[in-house]
Amino acid sequence: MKLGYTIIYVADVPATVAFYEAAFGLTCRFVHDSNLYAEMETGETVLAFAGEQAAEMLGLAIVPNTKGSVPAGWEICFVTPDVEAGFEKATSNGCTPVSSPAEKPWGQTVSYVRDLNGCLVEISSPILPKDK
Amino acid sequence: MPFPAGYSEAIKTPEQSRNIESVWSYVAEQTGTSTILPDGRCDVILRYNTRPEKPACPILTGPATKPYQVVFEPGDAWVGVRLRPGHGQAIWAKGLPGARNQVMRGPAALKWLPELKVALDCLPVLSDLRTILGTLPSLQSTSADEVALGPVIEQIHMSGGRVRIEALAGRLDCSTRNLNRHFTGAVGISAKDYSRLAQFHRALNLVRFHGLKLVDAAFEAGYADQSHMARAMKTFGGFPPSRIPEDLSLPNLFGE
Repeated sequence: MKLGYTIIYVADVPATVAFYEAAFGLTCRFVHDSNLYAEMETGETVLAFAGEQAAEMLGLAIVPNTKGSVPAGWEICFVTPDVEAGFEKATSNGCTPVSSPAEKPWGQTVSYVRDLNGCLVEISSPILPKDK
Repeated sequence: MPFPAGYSEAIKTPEQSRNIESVWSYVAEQTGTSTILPDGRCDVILRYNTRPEKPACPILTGPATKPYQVVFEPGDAWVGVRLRPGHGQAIWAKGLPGARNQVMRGPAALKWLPELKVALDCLPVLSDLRTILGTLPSLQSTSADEVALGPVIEQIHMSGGRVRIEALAGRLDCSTRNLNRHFTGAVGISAKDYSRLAQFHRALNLVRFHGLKLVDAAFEAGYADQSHMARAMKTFGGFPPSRIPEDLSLPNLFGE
């Protein structure tokens, strides 16, 4: 078994895709005709968005993510060598800043924003192997 | 679950099914009884028999929170419209909360919805009846409360009835007191009761269609324990979880 998808249930799938393209520079690789599901080009492990309606269709119950509520207790994390630029791009394209880029004692630069749906997104530098 | 590419079957979401009036009809071929489960929605129904000597009867139901049994014999037939949640005011106006679990028959129903007389006159042509009931002028309006409460009703269903009233009030930027007032006015039952119904239906579906054992369904549906779920099934369905009836509503109740 391996991790195949991270699927976030959102109110508006096309709007979220457009937002992730603008704020995080991702590209979309598939949108279902129903506009209830889309996948981003993120390599082998796919970041995907599904309509909140799809959850009920599958028999699931969920708490929708909203900008005004406390974010759910998990995050997705984008890794980039230039965290400052990534953070700047995200916040100038609609993300709400949560924590500005700061260097951690172990050398990693870490920042946090919230997306259009209020979901927590981390933008940080890669963790380098110790011997470098 | 990822949706595969090429899967192009038209998808009707639960929200879409809730938000159109569903016109349904049913003709009984044999004697029987059926349990109609409550879902907080109102119906406009014409009951008749294919043998014309029996008079037709218009029926209006208020928002239900209790199950009811329908007894029928061969030739008994119904055509009805199930109103979307929050649309009951179109018939009951300010009297909606008082119509909870009420069933009006014959002249009492005509008093609330005189337009039904037209439908009585065109019996027994079923196709005409479906058109007439589906286009009753009184049902075409949408109240401001209904529009405002749309996202609240959706959030209740999305969470399987497990959402706090405070969160719903936050969605409308109003106090819980105001939310309750608007909700009860437009839907006819309280947001709490509507949530309990949504939770009950989800638990029922988990047992019937998702292969869960009772103990697992009770947990996933958000009941404190199995006996909590058993009480809800008794209240809203009239049956214990171990004896969920096979035929829970009249066939075609939700349209074709």
